[in-house]
Amino acid sequence: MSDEIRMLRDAATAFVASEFPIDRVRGMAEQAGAVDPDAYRALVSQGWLAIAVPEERGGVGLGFAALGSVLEILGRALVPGPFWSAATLGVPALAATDNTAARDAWLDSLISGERRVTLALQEGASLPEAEAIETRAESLGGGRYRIHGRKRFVPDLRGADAAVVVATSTDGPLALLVDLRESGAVVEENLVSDQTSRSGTLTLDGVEVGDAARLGGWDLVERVVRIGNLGLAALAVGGADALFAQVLSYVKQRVQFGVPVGTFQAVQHPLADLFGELESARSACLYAAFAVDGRTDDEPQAVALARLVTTAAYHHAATTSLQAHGGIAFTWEHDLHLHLKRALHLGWTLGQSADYEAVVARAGLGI
Amino acid sequence: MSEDNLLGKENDGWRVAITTLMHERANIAALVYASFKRELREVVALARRLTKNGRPLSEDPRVRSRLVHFYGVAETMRLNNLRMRAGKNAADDPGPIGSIFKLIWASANQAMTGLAAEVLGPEAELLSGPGAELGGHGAWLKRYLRSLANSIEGGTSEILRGVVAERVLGFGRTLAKGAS
Repeated sequence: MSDEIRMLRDAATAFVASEFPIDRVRGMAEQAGAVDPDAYRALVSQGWLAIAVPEERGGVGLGFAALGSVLEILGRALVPGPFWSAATLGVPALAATDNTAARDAWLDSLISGERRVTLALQEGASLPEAEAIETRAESLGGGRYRIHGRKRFVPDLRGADAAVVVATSTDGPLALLVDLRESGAVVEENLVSDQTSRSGTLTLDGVEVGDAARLGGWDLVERVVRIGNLGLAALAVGGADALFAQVLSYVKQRVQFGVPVGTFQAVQHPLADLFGELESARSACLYAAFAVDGRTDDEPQAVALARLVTTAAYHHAATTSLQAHGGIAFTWEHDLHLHLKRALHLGWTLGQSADYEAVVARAGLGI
Repeated sequence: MSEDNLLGKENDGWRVAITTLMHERANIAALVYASFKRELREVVALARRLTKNGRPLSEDPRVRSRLVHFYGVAETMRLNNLRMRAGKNAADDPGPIGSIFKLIWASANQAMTGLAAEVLGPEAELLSGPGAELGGHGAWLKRYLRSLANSIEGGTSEILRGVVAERVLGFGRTLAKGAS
C-alpha cells in the first residue's frame, strides 16, 4: 500500500468515525426513501469524488485502488447515501467519455458534488447483454435521439441530476446522458428493504437528447459496470470486516454455562472458517482494484470474481454472526439486520451472481 | 543438552514449533496452489468431454457454477499467497493467512475431486474393461478417495481451526487448559 493510500485511509477512518456514528446512520436509514443532503455534502467535501479521476481530467489521479479503500471504510460504517453510485458510475462515465462537450458541461460539477449522475442500465433483475436492451434510441438525424423505455433498479435515482441511459439504436448500444428534468423522464422511487440504499425506476417516454448526450457505446458501459462492481466489492469487504470484529468481541464477552461462549469450539470453528473466507474476499478485492487500474490483463474475470466472492462473504459473515450472537442479533435494535439486508442488496445490484458467474466461466475458464 | 540448544525462549516452545510449521505451510501453499490449479483444468476438460443429451456438461448451469466456484478458490489461493509473501520477512510469523491456507485447500480439493466423481457417476468406478478409459481407469475416483485424507494429514482441519481461533482470533488456549 502506498503512503498516499495509507494517509487517505487514515483520514477517511477518522472522518467517518466523527461524522457517521451508528446513531446518525440509523437515523438516516429510518427516513424511508429520503436522501440526507448534508451527509452527501459532507462526504464530497472531502474531495473523494476526484480520487480516481485522471489529473488531466481535473482529478487527483490516485486510481481505483485508492477509491476502493475509501469505499471499504464507508461500507464498514454502513454510511448511506449516493456516494458509491456517484463515485463509481456517474463520475467514471463522464471521465471516460470522448465526448468533450459532455465532459466539459458535466465533469467538474460532478467531481465537486454540485451535481450527480447515476447509471440506468437494467430493465430486469439481471445484468443485460448488449443485444437484450429493449430501451430504444430512435435517431432523429443531426445527432439527435428520441428515447423510449423503462429502466429498473436504478441506484440512487431520486435526487440525481442526470442518468446515463443505455439504449439500443441503429448504431448499436449507446450510453446517453439524460437530464432528468427533461420532459418525458419520469422518476419513481422504489422503497427497498435495505434501508441504507436507494433505488428507483426511470421511465423514458420520448425524451429527446442531442449530440452532447452521446457518451459512448457498449465498451464504455462495460467499463463503468466494472468500476461499479469494484466499488460494490469494497463496500462488501468493509461491511464484512465490521461484522467480524463485532462478533469476535461479542462472543468473548457473552457468558453462558459460566464461561464466555467464545470458548466453545462450536462457536470458534465457524468463525475460523469465516476468517478464511473474508481474507480471500479481501485478496480478490485488492486484485480487482489493480485490474481496474490497468495493472493486470485479466480485468473482466478479476472484477467479476471479486464481486462474487465479496458479496457472498458479506452475506455469510452476516448469517454466521447472527447465529453466533443468538436472539439478540435478531432484534431491530441490533445493527446486524442493516448489514444482512445490505449484503443481499449489494449482491443484487448491477445484476445478480449468476450474471457474473457467466463472466468468470467465459473469461476465466473458457466455458 | 545445553541451554545453547534452546530455540526461542523458555516456555515459548509451542510458538516456535507453530511458527516453523507456518513457514512450512507458506512454502507448501505455492505447491498446493499449482496442483489445485492443474487439477481444476483437468476437471474443466473432463466436463467439456462428458456429454448429457448431446451437450457438454460444462454447459450445464449447475456444473458451470461449481467450476466457477473452484476457479475462485484457486484464484484467491494464489492471491492470498501473494499477500502472505508480500507481508512476510524471513524472521516473522507468516501471519494469519498462512494458517488458513491448508484448511481452505483441503475442503476445496475434496469438493472438486468429488464433483469429478459425481459427474462421471458409475463411469468413475470402472477399473478395467470396455469404456473404463473415460474415468481414467478409476483415477478420478481414486483422487476423490485420496482427498478425504487432506483434512486429516498435516494437521486435521479441526486442529487448524483451533490454531486460527487461538492465535488469530485471540480466543486463548481454552482447550489446552481443559485437557491438562
